[in-house]
Amino acid sequence: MSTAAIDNPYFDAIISLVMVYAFLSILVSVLLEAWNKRTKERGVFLQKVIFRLLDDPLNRNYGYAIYQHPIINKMRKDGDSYPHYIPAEGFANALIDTLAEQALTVHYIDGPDNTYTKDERGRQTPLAERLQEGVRLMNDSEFKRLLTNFIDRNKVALNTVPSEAEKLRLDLDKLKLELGHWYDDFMDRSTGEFKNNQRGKLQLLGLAVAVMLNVDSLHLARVFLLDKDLRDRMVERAEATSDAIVASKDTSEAALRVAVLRKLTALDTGKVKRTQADTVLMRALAVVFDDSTVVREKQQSDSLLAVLDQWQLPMGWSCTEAPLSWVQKEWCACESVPPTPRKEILLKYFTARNERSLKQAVLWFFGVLITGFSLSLGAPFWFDALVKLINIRRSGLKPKTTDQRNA
Amino acid sequence: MERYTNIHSHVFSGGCVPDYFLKTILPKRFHAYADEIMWILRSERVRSALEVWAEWRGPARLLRRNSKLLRIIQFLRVGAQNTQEEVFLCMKQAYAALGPNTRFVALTLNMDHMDVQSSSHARIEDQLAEIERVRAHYPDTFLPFVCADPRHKQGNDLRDWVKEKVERRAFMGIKLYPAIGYFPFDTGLDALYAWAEQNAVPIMTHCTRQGTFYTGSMAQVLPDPKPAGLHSTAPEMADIHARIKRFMNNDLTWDHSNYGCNIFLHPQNYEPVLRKYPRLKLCFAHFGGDDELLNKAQELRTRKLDDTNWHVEVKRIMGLYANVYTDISYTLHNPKVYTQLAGLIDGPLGERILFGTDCFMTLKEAPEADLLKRCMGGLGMDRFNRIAARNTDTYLRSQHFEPAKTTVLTWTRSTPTLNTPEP
Repeated sequence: MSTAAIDNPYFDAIISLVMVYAFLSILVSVLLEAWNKRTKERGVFLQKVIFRLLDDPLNRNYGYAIYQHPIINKMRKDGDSYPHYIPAEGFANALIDTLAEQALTVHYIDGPDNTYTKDERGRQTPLAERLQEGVRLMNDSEFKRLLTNFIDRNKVALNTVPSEAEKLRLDLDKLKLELGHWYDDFMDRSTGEFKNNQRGKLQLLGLAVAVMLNVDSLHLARVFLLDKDLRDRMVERAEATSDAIVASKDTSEAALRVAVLRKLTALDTGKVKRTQADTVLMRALAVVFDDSTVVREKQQSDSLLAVLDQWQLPMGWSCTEAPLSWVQKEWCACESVPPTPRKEILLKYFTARNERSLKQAVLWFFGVLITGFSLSLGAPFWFDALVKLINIRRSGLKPKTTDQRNA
Repeated sequence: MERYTNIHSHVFSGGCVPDYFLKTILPKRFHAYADEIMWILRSERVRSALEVWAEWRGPARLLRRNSKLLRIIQFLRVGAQNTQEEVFLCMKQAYAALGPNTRFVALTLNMDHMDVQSSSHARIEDQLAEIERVRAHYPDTFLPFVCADPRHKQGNDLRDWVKEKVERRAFMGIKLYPAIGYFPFDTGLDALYAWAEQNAVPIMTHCTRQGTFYTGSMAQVLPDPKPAGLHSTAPEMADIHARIKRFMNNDLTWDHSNYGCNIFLHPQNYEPVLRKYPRLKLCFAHFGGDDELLNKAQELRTRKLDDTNWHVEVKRIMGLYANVYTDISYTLHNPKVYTQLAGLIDGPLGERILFGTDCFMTLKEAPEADLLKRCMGGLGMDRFNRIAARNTDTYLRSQHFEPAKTTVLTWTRSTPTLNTPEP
């Protein structure tokens, strides 16, 4: 453990608690990602956003049209799903093709031997011309105005044509680039909207993890204060986590999650035998992860739970610990686990807590609620908090925020 | 060998359907949760689980009684296809027994005006553009009808819009679906009828008391108990106005938009149109519906909504006008109707009864291939040949389309025809 400028049990207990929150927040993020993958939510959200972006009630919903375009349609895995991501170039190409197709007409004309044959008119015209014609044919609308402006802005002088009227030619590459920027800007704004949509789910998942792992924040805080060994162990891991976050070049949540997990796995693997404290969560996860699309998330959650198990934190469901210890033994179907050897002061505290009383029940309820709320703040929040706290602990180093690190 | 045509089918995919479409299927008390229910049912696993559940004895009985849930599941299963082409191919597979040349009339539906709520579904022009692509891929077997709605375009605008599509043979006829909020005698359809009559272009109209309906408030589409008509002096208008007034004064019907079918789709609504355009080639789909055909529409009579038997009404109108047709789509799912249908096909109206299934709406009743078998077996092949080959050809024949001709899959690429100059 590194030398600390601030060596205060209360401060260290806070760091330990923040470390637990940061760690469990990773689990919540992984679960949310797995849930989104299973429900194909990102794809559905993207589809809705693009439908909204390109909906022109006076003409067509070009969002629907570009989802029919082979570039986008081929990205779908099955009839039930939509692509999670559409590159700007693919979007621009699909939109241009769709608009240009409005200038094409298929006629079925009389052919030889009592037949009709197809006659597609306009196909041989260059794409840029077809695009302009397709836009011209649209009913007047705000979307048409937008497209016309895009086209006008991307016309370049064509000196080789002598006629005054034909001096400008549409530069398709420039237009594609501008359409791509427009799409990217819109998607950036929509990312915020998606995150807002996720907040409710994050709260639910946070609470679910708190309940399933029986994480009572008030209890944890008390144990961290009473148990120096555990506190020191947690501070050591908090410092390692902070170092991993600061060292990570990629500051995206996913990258930080991987870096932290790698660091902690290296620290703890194989030290302690796995217990069954997380059985409830494991059973729930088996249902969530019963799908080939969430293999990565399954591996990450397995590693997280393995590391968590090795920390031997006072959490998880056990017949000998609150709140199960409050109910009649006969009701409790789980195997009895031998109590962990504890110091006298801890033993006293645990004995009192395991006795059934209204006060303990209320404290447990609020403790779990606090955990649920804390986990819903998300991993990035707790990573930042952890880095700041560790920096303060280490001789008052000025903490770096994520924004500063990004800069 | 006969060449068969299914005169009544739909191929729209989930993307064509507005967000509020589920209201046409769900009971009113669930309308507020339509989005959430749609979200849950979009999952293939959920749909499969519900179907397994529906196979159990108890729940199955419960489900089959109102069949709402199964209808949603089946609809979404097919509608969840990526494209209308995939929906078409699903349907085509079921007709292997009739040979690869079997033709399908795909009826498009303008769902943009089904409610005043906003929805970011595929607009009608998207649906038609996609339909045209399917026709380009299967020009000889895919024969779409273009839907007309006087709230989309009116008068000469509507006529020219339809005319352009029918004249270049991208679409073979016109589809009307008044239940989504307009009357067939709307003045906005006048020019279209005139042109359709002159060119013998077939019109298909939905005609049962069930089906998709206007999901908003009735007050939005029925502001006046005496809506103007294209033939205001027609004697039927008095009856029609009286019925609309009764409908508006009846709290039950006025508050539940699903009863709108009773008022907008009534066969008598077409009589002013047919008086003005007696040679109009009009097909009343579903032959009034199986309940009416079997005279089982007791529920409606007890509610004093309307005492008319639509099946009888359709037959009466067919007797008056030589170009009025009917089809047996959806009605054919009921095995009890076949004896009566066989008699009707052998009777004087037999040449104007057409074969159609209403695929994929009928999936809640039976798989398409089973319905086909049921129909061929129930009517006998001779009658089936008449209604599915000869009668359908007569109905489809117009100034612009000859069903005896085949459309070959070769391209003739014309010279550029755009107005803009070449660089």
